[in-house]
Amino acid sequence: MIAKGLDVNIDCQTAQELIPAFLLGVLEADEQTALRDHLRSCATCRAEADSLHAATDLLGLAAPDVGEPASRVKQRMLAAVHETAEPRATVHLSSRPRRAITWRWAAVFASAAVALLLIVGLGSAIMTLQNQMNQQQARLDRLTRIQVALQQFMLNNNIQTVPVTMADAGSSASAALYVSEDKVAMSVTGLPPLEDNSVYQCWWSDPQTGEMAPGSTFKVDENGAGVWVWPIPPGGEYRHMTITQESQPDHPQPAGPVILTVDL
Amino acid sequence: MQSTISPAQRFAALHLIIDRRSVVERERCAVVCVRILDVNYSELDDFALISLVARHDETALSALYDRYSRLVFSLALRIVGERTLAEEIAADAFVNVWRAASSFAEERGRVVAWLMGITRHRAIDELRRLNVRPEGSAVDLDEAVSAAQSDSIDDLVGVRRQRELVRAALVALPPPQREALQLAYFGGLTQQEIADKTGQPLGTIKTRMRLGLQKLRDELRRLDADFG
Repeated sequence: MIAKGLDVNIDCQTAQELIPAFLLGVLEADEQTALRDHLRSCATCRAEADSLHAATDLLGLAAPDVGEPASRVKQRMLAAVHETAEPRATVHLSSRPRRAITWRWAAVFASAAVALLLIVGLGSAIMTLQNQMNQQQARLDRLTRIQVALQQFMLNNNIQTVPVTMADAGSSASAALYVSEDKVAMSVTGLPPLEDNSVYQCWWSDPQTGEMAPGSTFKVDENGAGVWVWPIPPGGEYRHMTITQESQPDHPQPAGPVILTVDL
Repeated sequence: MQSTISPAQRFAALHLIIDRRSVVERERCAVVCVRILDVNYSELDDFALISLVARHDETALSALYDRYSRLVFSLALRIVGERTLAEEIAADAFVNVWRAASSFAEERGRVVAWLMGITRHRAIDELRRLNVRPEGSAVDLDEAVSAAQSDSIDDLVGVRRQRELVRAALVALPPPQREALQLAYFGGLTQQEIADKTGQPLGTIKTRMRLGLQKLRDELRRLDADFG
């Protein structure tokens, strides 16, 4: 044991001896402090502790199986969980005794002033809340549309993953793409968010004509991420998809830098 | 409309499509699975369940309980040795999961290891509070030996497989090293207390614990690689 009350620096050999007890949670407090200090500054001992951690965590699995606990345990647990739920906000109303008649008008004016302030404040708060609710609702609607589209997409028989090739302009991003018979689902992270009229645009290459047919345009969220489900255009054997960054959404042919390409 | 792929496959696909990096997306993915895709809670993986528990979804907690209560109860009983107390600890462990689910970090390890840690700490605290040291802290590994010999590798799936791996790894340790680890883990004994109990020098106990844990780590890695 390390002498208590001393600022002790321990060497690696001592640290290695203490690590097992530390991981098992049976180290004395003063030894814990000394070991923690050492681990902060020693990468070798820290690596040793990390590698032993998983083995320590799993030791509990060696306990002999004694079967299921009684059903009352689950009931007790769920009851306790209900108790820990946050109580609903309650409004406490209190009544005050009426003051003397000489204060009546002052009270009337004060009440009117308070009421006015409340009306103005409440009105402002309601408008702010309404605005936030509208934004949340729009976000929720958008997510719901994506979720429903994904659900329908995944009911297809043949969903295949397709390798995506990131171009230089999309080197900061990563993408995953899945294809069914008539749709593709794509998930992207790390794309720069775009401002104003700029959009990312999908293009479909027709191998017969060599032409690029414009597909959907999209923007990413503030984290550079997004998920989309797009139909594959009918009437062509489209085997190649390209995503570009365009300064506006109505270019007939790709004009901006290529972000990624996909061979379906 | 009839589904042509299983809920688990749909969930896996959702994981791949929606859920690439962010925890928020993973939570959303779990919510989508149970609310829109109508995936049964029992088909969700541990992390998805924890994500839902963090959103105070009691059904998810209930599913997690159904999956791991046996394991948690077994560990608690092994440590405190008294059934009623072990039941109380098991219930408390899941209440703690309810409270702390939002702070669960995947990088800290798997859910089962986290749950074991919560249970053990609670049980050891109880032992210390009661100032009780259960007798005979070594786990009976006879059952483990027979199980390891009789079960085929194909049967060793999920938690059961992990359980057998750990037991097999413990069996492979020299008995003095195994004893030192078990006295610390299941008995909550310090190295000095183990030295006093076994009549061995403190330095010997430190060495046994270190070598034992290193061998346990190596053996788990080897068994895991062998069993794929």
